[in-house]
Amino acid sequence: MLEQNNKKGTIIFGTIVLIFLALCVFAYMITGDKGIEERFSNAAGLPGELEGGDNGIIGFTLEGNNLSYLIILAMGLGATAILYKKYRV
Amino acid sequence: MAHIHLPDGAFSIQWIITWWILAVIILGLCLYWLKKVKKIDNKTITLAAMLTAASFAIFQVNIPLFGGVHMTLTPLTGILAGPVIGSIIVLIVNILSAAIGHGGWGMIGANLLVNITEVTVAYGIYKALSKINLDTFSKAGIGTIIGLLFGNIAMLLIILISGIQGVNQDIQPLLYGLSLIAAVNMGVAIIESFITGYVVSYIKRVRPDILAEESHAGAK
Repeated sequence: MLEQNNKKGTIIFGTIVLIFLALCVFAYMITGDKGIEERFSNAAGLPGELEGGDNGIIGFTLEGNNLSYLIILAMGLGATAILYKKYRV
Repeated sequence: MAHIHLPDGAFSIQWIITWWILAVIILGLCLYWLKKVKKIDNKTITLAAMLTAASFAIFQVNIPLFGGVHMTLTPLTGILAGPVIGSIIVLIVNILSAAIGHGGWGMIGANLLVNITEVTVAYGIYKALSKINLDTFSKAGIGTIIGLLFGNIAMLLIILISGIQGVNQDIQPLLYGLSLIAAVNMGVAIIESFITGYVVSYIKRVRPDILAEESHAGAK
């Protein structure tokens, strides 16, 4: 019964994934290779913002101020670690 | 994920205020519910802190797929923390994101409504699928995709209703352009659905008490 439910879940999930993957590839072929802000500017009819310059690490880049990002992230992780230790969850 | 990537000034002031008021009303109801109905426990506070840090960390990363996309982990937040605490988490993440220069301050109200939709729908679908006994990975994956689909619909509706200031564009090309963005976003939703599916399955295996359904079952 459990195996049957797993199979049913996989079939439903797989079908949904395939439908949206096809939709995404179709839309990507129409719009071309653009950054998210550029995509939005084009759709809204605003003057396009060209993204680029920083290639980051294998294409992964950070939005906003990198130093502020690291400070806030360190504070968030620190707070989580303290709470985890304090409450022993 | 869906997030309105428009600069401050794209919406007129009345629409910025309208979306902020709606978001504040929803958040007010969430806080009231936490104060009067369901008291928040230590485990939930820790889980919320962890989800906030994870969501903030992931959201700022521009992933080199389809020209550059983001993930927010909003469905994972909804499934693990529920829609009420999830709504407060997305408020904090949106404020922190605006603070480091990712997204405009004026857009926070509208983006909150989009993210709250994702959190709530993902949680609702995950819960609804529990009744037909699907496996955890599929439930979380389907919940994520449907949640993000509704988030995209909310984003589309908010932009169409607000209109874009200083742009003389008919509704048809705007709708067409936004629909293409939503369709590309759904490709990212697929990746996010696998991540959510694996994380929720893993948590269910090693710490089933964290998942709300398990806690309730244990309480009975």
